[in-house]
Amino acid sequence: MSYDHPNFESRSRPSGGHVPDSGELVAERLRARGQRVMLIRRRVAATGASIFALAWGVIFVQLVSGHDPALAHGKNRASSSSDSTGSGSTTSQASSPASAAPSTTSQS
Amino acid sequence: MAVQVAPSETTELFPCFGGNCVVSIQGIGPVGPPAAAAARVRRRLEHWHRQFSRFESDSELTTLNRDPRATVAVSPVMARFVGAALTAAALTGGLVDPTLVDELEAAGYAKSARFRRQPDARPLQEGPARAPAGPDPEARWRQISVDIKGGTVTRPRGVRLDSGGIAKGLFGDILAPVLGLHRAFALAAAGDVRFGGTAGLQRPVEVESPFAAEILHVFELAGGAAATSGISKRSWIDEFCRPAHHLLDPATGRPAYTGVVQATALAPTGLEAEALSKAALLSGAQCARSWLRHGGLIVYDDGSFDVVSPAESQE
Repeated sequence: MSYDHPNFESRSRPSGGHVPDSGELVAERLRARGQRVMLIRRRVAATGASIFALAWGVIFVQLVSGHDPALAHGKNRASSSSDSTGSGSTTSQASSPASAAPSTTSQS
Repeated sequence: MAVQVAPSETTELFPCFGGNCVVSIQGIGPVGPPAAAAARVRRRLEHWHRQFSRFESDSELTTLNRDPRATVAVSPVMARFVGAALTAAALTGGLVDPTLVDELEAAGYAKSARFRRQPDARPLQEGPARAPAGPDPEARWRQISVDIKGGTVTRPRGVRLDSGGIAKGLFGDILAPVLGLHRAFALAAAGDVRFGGTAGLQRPVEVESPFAAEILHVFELAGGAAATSGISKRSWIDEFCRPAHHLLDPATGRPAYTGVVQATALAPTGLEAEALSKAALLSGAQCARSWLRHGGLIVYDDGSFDVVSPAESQE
């Protein structure tokens, strides 16, 4: 990374004919370098946050619309059932989201 | 009970309320993804089961029933339950009476138990002559009051409350506003079903036979509730060798044999469905249909049944 930019030279040269010494030049160059580093960091952080938010937005919309890719992975499984004698079982299945499973009403 | 799992629906099955509960959810909602929401519903129902059990010595309901004071401070959900029980009693003219705990215990229903399911209609034929049930002339439930905002219940000393099916209907109604923000949900709490969702999917609601493991009828509904009351499952032989069950005639305090073995009511809310199904069963074969204003199904003790479609009930 070079700091010998022509504009920098013209900016850093005082109009009163004062020629900055080497210490002032170094300080000025370090300050400019710091500003550029800060700018780059901010751009990287903003880009990363935007990509993260966009990805979450896509996933959220997909899940809310019922198209859960994790569930769709089991698409080819046959309709499953579990017996009431089992206690505390959890079952998930996925394919088309356009239907609801039957619910049974019975005497308790 | 076999649990059919719908496409993209997460289903959790667990024992609760003396039977089985099934929670089915599609899509993300305010509680989170379906699995997290189903797990949370399960924890909530299990908590309420412990809180409202008449058979647990340290449940809030038992503590309330044991309390000698006329006015007792209760939890917000207990206050809502008492309000719901009084609403059900008023809605049914006292046919659904929450104060029959002494009579239930006298009939032999003093502790939680796994009841043997009657295999067919024959044991019912041993019951007394069929007659419609009626309200208790004393109407003890009218002497109960609840301050839901203040969180207190006031009742005469000695009057005890039974959570029964009313509590299950109420719990579905409490959970429905949140579960209804998911794409689709169904909550079957030991036979009482509450369902709905943002997608408005038609859900088959199956009515189980009281006599065999078969489905009598399937309603296709997008939202609301269904409750089934019957006398063939929680039934037993009492100490005098008489057939008995848990649905009492408030007028006599004895198990009701009305000619209706099972009644299923559809309704917008779980509380109303529960109250209407009990009222339909207790009012007898001649009047049962008039209670099923949102539709339902009636099974008579000769094994025949009538379907009251939702459209028909609105004519």
